[in-house]
Amino acid sequence: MRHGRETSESPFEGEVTDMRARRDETTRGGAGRAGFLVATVAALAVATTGCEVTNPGPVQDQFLNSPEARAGVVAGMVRAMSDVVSAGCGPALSRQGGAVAREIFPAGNTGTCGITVAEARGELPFDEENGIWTEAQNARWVAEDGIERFQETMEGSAFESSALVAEAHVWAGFANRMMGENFCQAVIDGGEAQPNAVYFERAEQYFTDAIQVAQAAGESDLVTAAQAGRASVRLYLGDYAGAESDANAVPKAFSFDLPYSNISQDQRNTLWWSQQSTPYRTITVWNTPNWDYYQDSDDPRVEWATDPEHEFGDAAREIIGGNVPFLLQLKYQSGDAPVDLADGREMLLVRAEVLLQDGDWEGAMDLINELRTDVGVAERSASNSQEAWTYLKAERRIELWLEARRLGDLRRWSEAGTPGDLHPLEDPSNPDSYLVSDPDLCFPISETERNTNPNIG
Amino acid sequence: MRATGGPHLRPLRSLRGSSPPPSRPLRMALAGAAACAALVLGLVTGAAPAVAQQTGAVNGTVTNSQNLQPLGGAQVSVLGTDIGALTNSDGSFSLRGVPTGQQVVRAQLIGFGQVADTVSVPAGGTVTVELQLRQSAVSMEDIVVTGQAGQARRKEVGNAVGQINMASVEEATVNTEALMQGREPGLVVQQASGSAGSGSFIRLRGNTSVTQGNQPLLYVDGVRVRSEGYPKNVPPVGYSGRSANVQASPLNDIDPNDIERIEVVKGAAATTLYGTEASAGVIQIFTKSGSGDAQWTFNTRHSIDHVLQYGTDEVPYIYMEPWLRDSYGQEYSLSVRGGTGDQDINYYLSGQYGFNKEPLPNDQVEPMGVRGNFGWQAAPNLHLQWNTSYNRQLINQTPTGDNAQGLTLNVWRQNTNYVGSTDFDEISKLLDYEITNQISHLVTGATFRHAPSDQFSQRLRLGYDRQYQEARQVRPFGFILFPVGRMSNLQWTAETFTADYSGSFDFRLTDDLTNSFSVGGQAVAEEIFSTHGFAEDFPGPGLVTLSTGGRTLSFEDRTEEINAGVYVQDRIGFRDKLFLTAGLRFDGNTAFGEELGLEAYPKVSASYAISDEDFWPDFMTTAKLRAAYGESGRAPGTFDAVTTWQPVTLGTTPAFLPQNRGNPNLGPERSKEIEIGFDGSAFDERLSLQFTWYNTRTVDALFPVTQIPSQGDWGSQAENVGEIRNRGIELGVDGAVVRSSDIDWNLGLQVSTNHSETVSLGGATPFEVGGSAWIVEGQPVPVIRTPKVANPDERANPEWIEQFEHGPAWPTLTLTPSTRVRVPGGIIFRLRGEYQGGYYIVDQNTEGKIIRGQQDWPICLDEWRTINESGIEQLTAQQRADCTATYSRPDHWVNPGDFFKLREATVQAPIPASWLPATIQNARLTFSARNFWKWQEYDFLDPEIGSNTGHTSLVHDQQEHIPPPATYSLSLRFSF
Repeated sequence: MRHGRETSESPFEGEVTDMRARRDETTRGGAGRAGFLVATVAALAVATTGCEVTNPGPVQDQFLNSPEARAGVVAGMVRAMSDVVSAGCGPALSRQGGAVAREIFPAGNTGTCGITVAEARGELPFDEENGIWTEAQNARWVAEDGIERFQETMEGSAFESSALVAEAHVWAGFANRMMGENFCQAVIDGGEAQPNAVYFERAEQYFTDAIQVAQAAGESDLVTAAQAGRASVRLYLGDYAGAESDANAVPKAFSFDLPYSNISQDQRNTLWWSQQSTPYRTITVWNTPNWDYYQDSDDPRVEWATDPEHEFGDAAREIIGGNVPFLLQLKYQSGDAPVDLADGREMLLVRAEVLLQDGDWEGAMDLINELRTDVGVAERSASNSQEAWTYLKAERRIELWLEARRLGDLRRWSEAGTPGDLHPLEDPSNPDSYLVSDPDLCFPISETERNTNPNIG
Repeated sequence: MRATGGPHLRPLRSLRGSSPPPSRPLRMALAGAAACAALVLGLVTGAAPAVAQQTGAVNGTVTNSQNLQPLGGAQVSVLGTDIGALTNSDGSFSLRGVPTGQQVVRAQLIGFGQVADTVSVPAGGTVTVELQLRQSAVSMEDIVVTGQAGQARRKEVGNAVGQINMASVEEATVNTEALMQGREPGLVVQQASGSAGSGSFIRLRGNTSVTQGNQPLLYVDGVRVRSEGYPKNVPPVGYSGRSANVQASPLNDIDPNDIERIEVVKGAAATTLYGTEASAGVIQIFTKSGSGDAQWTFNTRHSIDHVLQYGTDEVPYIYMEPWLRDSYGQEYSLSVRGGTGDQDINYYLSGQYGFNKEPLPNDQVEPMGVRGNFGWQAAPNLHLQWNTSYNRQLINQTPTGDNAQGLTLNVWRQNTNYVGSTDFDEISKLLDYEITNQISHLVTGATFRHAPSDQFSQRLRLGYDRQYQEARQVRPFGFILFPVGRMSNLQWTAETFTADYSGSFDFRLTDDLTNSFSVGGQAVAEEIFSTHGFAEDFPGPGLVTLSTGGRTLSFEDRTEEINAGVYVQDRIGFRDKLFLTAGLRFDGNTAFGEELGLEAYPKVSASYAISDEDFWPDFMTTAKLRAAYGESGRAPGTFDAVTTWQPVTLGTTPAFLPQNRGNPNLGPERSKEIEIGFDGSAFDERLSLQFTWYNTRTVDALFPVTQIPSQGDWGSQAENVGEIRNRGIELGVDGAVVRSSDIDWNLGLQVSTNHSETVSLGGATPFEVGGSAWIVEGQPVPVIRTPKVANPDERANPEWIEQFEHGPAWPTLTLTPSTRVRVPGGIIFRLRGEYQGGYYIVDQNTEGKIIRGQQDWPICLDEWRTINESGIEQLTAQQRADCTATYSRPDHWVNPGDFFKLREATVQAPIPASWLPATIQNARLTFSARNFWKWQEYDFLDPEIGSNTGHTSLVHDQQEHIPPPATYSLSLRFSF
């Protein structure tokens, strides 16, 4: 049994406990006290007090302005982000985007915990992806709105040196990066459709602000997290020097994670939960690049296994015309397994890609092999830039497996026309990939956004 | 007229109480009402008794002409005198002190046409008279209550008031919803599934609201009873379909044996005095009361449920045969009714118990209940009535619907199911999933009727409705699809308090003009509170509680809402033929936005008893023209007006996420209705006819305006932006083909239409309300909109028409033909059917099978044979779309919903008195078959198979449910 947050050393938890005790109720005057008095006096001539009901539960907006609520506001940013990246059985980038990128293969149900018929083919129709657009935008908006709320309700100096404010900026940065990597176009707060680079630009700014505030607050981990996030974003923006500079500042052992929890089904890491036979087995490693790679390498980063009790996924899939062999991913082995948002190993690959962009493919291979040595797998040997790019693309596929990052990479390389090959099972021209000839590499602006936002044509 | 025999004669004419009116909030309602009660009691005055001289007596009985059964509670009076009485439960009456000579004795009872007979009363002697009352839908003098400020004669009322009188229901009734089905034009009842405890969709004149529910308001003996369904039994986290996916209905808590009659008012023109929450109509149930000598009645019903084919001829039950059963049910009820000798006190007491197995293997319902209705004529001008019922139902259910851990889904999916097997024993392991519901329902209400003078009467009513449900479900340790085990337990309580005052002042303006002025007020406070526990990961086998789980969660919800209003009404009568009524109600509601004040709802109506005119031909017995206009509303949801954030957790850390955008100007949606109609009878009431045309516009309709996702996930916000319209007619015709003392043969037909339209979205974009049902400007409310194959007959791949609007999601035409025959010996045969048509249903079942490549889905067997033998090229585009995953599109399986069912075939026979012990006064044996034959336009899946969202939703798509079964019942009823 967990005993009270009041004894916790964390001011975050303690503050929110206090706030909730006092504030989480909604008191309504309804149609107006005067109105009720008129009604009741006229009816019974006994009215002596007004009509008021007290409805606890939902939290009224103004209560979030209180200092005690700030930790909860930031926790909401994290929850919103974890929801869209890999939580529960609803929309999740790691599952749906992962299927399109062939990080995983569809193995069963198309609805709950599942992968739709279109996603299985590599298609992301705008009228079928409302949920993921909404959740992703929510993660971005909640973080940015929280920062605005803090700005409006905090003294300037306090705002500029608050650990919570620094953390909020970090989450706003990662939320914008997540959108930039996975969505085709940017839409900000009901505005017009813009190039998706806008997300990366915003992410860069939020990370920059985060670094500044975190430094003032003495939060070194947040500084590093923001630097790691900014490094990955600058890669997309073509600021290779900036990316390398940030990446160099991140220790290899550093990791900044997105948390998940076993406390309830909707907070469990979907990539674990979707293969637990309760009753779903909707994803499989079968017929994916890392299925193939792991058999050759035993690379612990892409470990998978057979399930002795279940040979196939939970339902036949139209895409292969029958039952799909069921192979468990073992990267996430519990519902509360976190998802890496940024870490030092990724920074090695950021630096490697920068070197490739600069034409130093040997230097890039050194960094790739440094990473591979660290994780205990055989080094690669390239003989030219083309091969080095191939290994870089493969290494990112391995290192960032199932972290909702692959679609962004595929799109970035495709648009830039970078050299190097993808794995055959990522290649739409290979019939074994079961992909359409021109698969989608990003989620479109959703039908709901198009229908409701007057600025979207 | 002044009564000597009992309390009820006077209240009918002089105690004009009514239904609605306000008082105040929850905590003040009872206090206020109590104050009023004191006020009322303080005004009590005496009344003069009658005196007799040169008199005789009139004894007799009153019976129902249709089945010759005695009618208790009928008013019998001697015209031109103050002498009157109520009949005893055995129909007998005795009038003393009747002046000698020729006298006209009249009998009347609500729901029946009055009858009179002339007798010659001997001085000091007794004359006997037998009076037979005939049910009449068009009786001018009949008293109605619902929607009126106090009681009113039908001839005074400008709107249609439907009435179901139990004295004319022979059927061995299964439950209250089944009782109402097909008995009143404009009242559409569709049972949502064949699972135990499933409630029914009920619509009065279509859907008047898109967001706020369309279940009519429910009153029992004037006490407001929450009419929405009980919560679905589903865990608080995870997929919302881990359930039997049905909801029980509070209506079915009421034992049909306790019901005297039901009044139905269908739209805003008639429900204005109920104010903000009444736009979907009002159903009021009146339970029995007693009079005269104690009469005991015992009733028992034994029934068999049998599921009719709902698949194809080749696969008639979609592989469910091994699990479906012909289930046996039994119910018993005992009641006693009567009154004290002086009739100052009357009573009705009853008890009920039943045990009904249902067709699905885990399904059973165990109802039980008690009722006590007590009346006390405390003083000649004060009558008190206290009615209380307590009902309890234990409902066990089988997991069904769109539920991957349910029986039906896994059986229907065969080799693509989640069990991974089609083996009976393997699939049957799903039956370890326990879903149990315990419902208890208390309704109590006290009514004070007070008539200080012949001109002024008032009524105060205090009511309390408490509904409780424990919804518990357990997937035990080792459960096939969740081996670590999981359970949840919902403790849910809804309390509704009613305080209701009405006062009427009747006076004569001139010789020709009468006036009745009424004021009233009503407060209804509703509190709902629930706690929901959840546990998973049990340590091992065994019986579990929430505490057994290795991981537990708990949730609590509490809401409180108050609606209060006052009204005034004035009715002017001209020569007792023409009546004009105008009224106005003001309402406040705690769910309104902060900026919104009181809402006013006006009404005006006229009725003209044209048959009372001299020029009216005699063969047309009665005729009334009527017209009414009125408004009523529907309040927004409790939190709709407020900007709120949802408290959630991040692991164990509290967090906030957007919940509701809020709108301080939010108000009720307002239905404005005009109805025009005619009630008449001809040929000595051998032919009766009721006709109503209505046009309802709901303005400021609360639409869920989807918020822009890039501004945060606020979902949708209820806004007063829309306008919808419902139009239609209601026709009821009943004709006596043969009428004699030995033989009666009646033919009846009810027709109702409903054509709805979304007139305006108010700038909102078209939106889906679930199940491919959409709200689209210019289309029905809602319209089924899906992709449709554009080249169905071509041997080619399908081409698609996007967003094809098939048509309405709810019936637009309902026909209810019936016939009834009484033959010598009092044996009665009744046959009643119902057609519902002109609408479309989305088949969600088929999609789930086809996209998984299931080749043995019943409607695709031929197509897959063709594919496997000759290739897909031999299929048409429609066949490819319907039966193959590659060419299908989500939600495109749409079918016409038209069906006809024989709702009732009944044979009722009185058991001859010579066969019975002397103590038995009368006994009847009744056999009824219900829903035992059907026709449907699309011959796959019964149209009364519903969705996962229960019976109170706006959408009626089809999921993995079995249909309501045919029920064959044998009942025995006798009185002693």
